[in-house]
Amino acid sequence: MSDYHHSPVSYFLDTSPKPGIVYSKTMGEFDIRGHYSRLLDEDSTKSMPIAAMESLAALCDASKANTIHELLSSIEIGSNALIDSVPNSISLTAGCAMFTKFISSHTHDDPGDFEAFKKKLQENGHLFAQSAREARFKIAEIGVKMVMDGITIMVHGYSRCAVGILTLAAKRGIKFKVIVTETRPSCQGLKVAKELRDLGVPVAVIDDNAVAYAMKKCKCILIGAESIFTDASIINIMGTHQMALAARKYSRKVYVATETHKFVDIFPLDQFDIPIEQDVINFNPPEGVDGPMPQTELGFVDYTESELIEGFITEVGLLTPNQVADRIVMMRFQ
Amino acid sequence: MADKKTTLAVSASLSTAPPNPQPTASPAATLAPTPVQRPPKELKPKDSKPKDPKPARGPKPAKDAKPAKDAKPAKDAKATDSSKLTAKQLKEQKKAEKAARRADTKAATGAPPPQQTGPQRSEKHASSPAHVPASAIVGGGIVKTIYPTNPATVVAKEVEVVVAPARDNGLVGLLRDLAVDQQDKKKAAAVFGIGNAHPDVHPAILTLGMQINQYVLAGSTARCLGFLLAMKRVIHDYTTPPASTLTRHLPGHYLSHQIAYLLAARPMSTAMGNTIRWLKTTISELSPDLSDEAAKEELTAKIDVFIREKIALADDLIVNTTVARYIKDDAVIVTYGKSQIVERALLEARRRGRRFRVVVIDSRPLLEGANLLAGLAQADISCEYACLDALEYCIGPATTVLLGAHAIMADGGVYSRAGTAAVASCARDMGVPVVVVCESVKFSDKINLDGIVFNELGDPELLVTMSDSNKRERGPLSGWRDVENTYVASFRYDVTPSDCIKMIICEHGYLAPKSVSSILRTSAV
Repeated sequence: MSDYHHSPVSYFLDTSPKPGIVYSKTMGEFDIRGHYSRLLDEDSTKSMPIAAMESLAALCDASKANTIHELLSSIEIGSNALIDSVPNSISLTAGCAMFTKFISSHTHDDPGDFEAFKKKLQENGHLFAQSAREARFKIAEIGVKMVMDGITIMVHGYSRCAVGILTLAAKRGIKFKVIVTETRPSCQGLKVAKELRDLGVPVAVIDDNAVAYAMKKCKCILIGAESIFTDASIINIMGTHQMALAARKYSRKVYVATETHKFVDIFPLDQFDIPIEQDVINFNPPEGVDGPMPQTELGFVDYTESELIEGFITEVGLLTPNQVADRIVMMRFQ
Repeated sequence: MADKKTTLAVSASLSTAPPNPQPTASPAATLAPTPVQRPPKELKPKDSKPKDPKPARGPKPAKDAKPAKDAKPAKDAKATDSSKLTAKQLKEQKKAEKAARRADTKAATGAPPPQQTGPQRSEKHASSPAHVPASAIVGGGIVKTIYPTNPATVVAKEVEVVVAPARDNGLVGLLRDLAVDQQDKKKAAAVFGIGNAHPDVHPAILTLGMQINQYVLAGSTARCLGFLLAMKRVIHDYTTPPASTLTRHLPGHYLSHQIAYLLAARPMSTAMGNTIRWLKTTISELSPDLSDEAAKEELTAKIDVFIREKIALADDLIVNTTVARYIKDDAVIVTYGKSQIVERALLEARRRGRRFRVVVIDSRPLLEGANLLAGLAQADISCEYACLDALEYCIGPATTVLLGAHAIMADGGVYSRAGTAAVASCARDMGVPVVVVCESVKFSDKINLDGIVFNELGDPELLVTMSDSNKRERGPLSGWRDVENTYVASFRYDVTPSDCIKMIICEHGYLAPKSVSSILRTSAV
């Protein structure tokens, strides 16, 4: 994990007796992990990067920093503590990076009165987290244009962005059908099916292993993503890759609905190079496990290369994979 | 030992041709008939006597071969040769340089170099000594290794020659375009050689040109670095002529003489082209109010910064990124040929205690990989060595393919030593990620659609000659020059399409190949 964030201050963490708690003399003690988990628990529609940004904003509020440098370093310590204390931290990394970038880009605004400056930053930080939260509604507005009368869409997993698009389409009175995979073992598909059926959308739930069978009956694939990497490849809930492969075989287009704050500058080479530790293939399963390895509440994810993806529906518009890659590379120069 | 076997395999494929140099039998020879059968008209603008090339190419090569022995004389050198050269699309500069050398040798010993088997083909031959593998040159004497074979044997073999029927002209057409193109680039600088250089060419550039021409400086980065260092001396010694200003005269006339000379030595690499463009812009941006001394000082300082940022630091960053993230314990890394920066990355990974295995894929005629292999083995890295024909077998168990590049096109295509495309596409097909490491100074704003346009033609003689360590023997193809409609094409580079490449690592971090254009947009080299 340490390869992914080369932080000059990360050694501070070694002194931290408990993961996810930040100690420093400018800040005292702040349980950023606890704050983060509370945010996620309180609002199930909140995604990880947003919760991370809000936690960092809260950390800024609690910070007793007296200089810009102190403030920035407490943000850095905070995000590292958070990243290291959460098992699957990729999308959270994106949120932290975005928040840090946002704060540091404003450090030149008002060097005069630090207290006023800090106050302004805190307000901006909350505003920033707020606008990231609203991205989902913009995505629905943009994506709904793609849902045409008579179309059948296949969905895998429960993505708030994808479901947002479909919900809006249903509310606009568009007649379309949805094939939903059950998405075992979390059965997120059932949640999608229930929400859409409540709106009167015809939904067919299929087994995960019927994806290739049903592919011909759908027009396109709509999925979300947990993170989008430098080359516009994505990670998403397990099963996405094989769905994309089947879609390629039948020339069905795969669209990814996602907020741009999930863009993260990491470049894995393949499935097994993604910076997540997950125990999927285990030749020596623990006692009592006869079937597949049990998943944590986050669930297993897999990696889908950008060649299999047709386009990204984001709050800044429809992007091709190349445009996404360009935006991520350009983040380095901002 | 593994390498020995595979090397033999390669040789074997070449030697399937019968000893008699029948063009039909040998893969290399079938590649392309010479431009010979092409009407010389379109090519002859510079020809003083258009009929000259005709008789020379006549279907009696045996005759030509004979006179070569004795008629070596320097007289065939310039005037007559150059007309043929254009017609035959050969490298003029080599010939001139050869002529000079020939004169020398003649004066000294009277023994003519063996390659000069016929007046009309001698120019091609002439380049061969210059193309002795860089390692050989660096290791030993340069000029001494020039004429490795005995002239008598060569000529004797070639006496009987069967004239082959005319064959498909497709590739010849492309080859001719390529050769004409290279000729065009050399325009003014008709022939390469210190004697032919413009009087304004600075001694540092004269030396550099020779080093480049003789492949002492062969790598793209090395040439670029050499150029910058030489330019520092040029600028140091430069004085503005009266009635002119430094910002106008230096980047204009003066610099273009230096560059024309280097261009004649060898076609320009992308890195050098980018560097020259940067240098010209930098000079013209100098304040005209500066005194010459101050301007020169500022310029030198800027060159130093350029070297540090675009080459030295860039290399460090690339090596660091590559090692930190993409050379892991238990990795099996496949690489092809020898790339300076790949070597550095592998050695650095070893230094950091990583345990991994390297498979070096190599190919004739330069066998650069052997050089890399020696370095890696010395650093206690476990290595395997194989030739290109064992590619699929080697790539199967690999975790990553790590390649260097000569240039990267704006669309993410990689322009690198011939054979790279084969390695990359094989790796793609077998699901092994291909990682290319390359400084952004090598990013080109051009796009090459195929591997032939803008390619550089190497010395065909190296392909023909069977080389086993120091012993060089004439291979079964050695008589190809005397077979009509036959041409041995030795391409130096090829283009790997961007979809064969997973990632490019430059000093700005890792990129998808398609993102090269993003970097080009932000960093105006």
